[in-house]
Amino acid sequence: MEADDLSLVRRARAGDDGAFKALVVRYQRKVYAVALGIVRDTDTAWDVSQEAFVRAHAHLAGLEGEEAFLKWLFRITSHLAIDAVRRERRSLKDAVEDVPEAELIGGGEGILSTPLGLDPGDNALRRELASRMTAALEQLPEIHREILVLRELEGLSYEELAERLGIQKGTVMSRLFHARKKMQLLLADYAGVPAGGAADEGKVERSKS
Amino acid sequence: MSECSHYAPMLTARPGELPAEDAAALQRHLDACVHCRALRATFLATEGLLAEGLLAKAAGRDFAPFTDAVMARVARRHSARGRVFDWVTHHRVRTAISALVPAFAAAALVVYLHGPTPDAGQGSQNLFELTSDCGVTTVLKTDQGPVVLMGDDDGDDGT
Repeated sequence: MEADDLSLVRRARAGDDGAFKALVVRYQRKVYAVALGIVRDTDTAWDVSQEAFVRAHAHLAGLEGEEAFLKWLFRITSHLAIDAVRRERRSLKDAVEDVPEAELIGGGEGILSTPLGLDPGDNALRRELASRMTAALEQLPEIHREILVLRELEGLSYEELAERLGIQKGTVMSRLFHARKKMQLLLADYAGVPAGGAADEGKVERSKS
Repeated sequence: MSECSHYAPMLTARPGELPAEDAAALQRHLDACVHCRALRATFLATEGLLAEGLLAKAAGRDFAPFTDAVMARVARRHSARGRVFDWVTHHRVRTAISALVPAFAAAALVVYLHGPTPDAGQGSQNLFELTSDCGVTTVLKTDQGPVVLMGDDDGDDGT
């Protein structure tokens, strides 16, 4: 039977490296996925993920009794990833190009629900859309990538996002909305709908088979 | 449209994330607004796909080197900590002295800084130190610096 996180953490804390290795193997892909979503670059995500595990190991004693290891690990990872993005931004002085707000006005509603369907039974289509969303994520501004990854991968609530990002809950909600809306616009081609064009429910034909 | 702008950020709230009155108002708006219903349907249809996409990307990589690298770094930390522990164990006396010397120095400094300050009258006596050089010249060390007192000119050696 597979040991649970808490018992592995306890053993790792007592110096059992095998137990810590089991935690690394269990969560390395998830940690990497979070880092990749935020930093975009695969090598940076790799480094950030390794650093997250090393820091987690160094601070295992600071992990409060019943706190979920994964949640704690994700927190370390996203902090490191956000720091890495900010360092990179400072070094490149590369302002992130924002999607003009005008593009958000009107159009595109329902464009993705139509090709995907509300009851997606088609795994291939689902995988393809997931892959396109990952690519689209790379084009989003930093603040929108961060909040989407924290919401979708870490599963943080509005309150947790507000605390993590140091912003108001209302800002969290509107930022998330803009992030999703921009994502939707970036995927408009996939749905076969012009980004600015209106699409009512059920009016868009399925463009991909 | 202003109503839509108001409710748009609430469209993907999870159960329990909105206050009950907001949730009820949102539902009333959705019942009446086809535009927001469509937008919400899109958001909900793609919920979780981003995580799937990123995890799929992660799954496409070989993580064996990753695990090895992390464990090697952890082992290096262990060994660095272990070396310090071994040194301390094998050099207990040195370690104790190393620990005590700065402690004594700090204590001495505290005593020096916080010790009683002599007043002017007594201090001038206490601070003077008299030394004799071949019984001829006397050097008086004061807190203002050394003061040289010349020997007795009339040959009366002080006897």
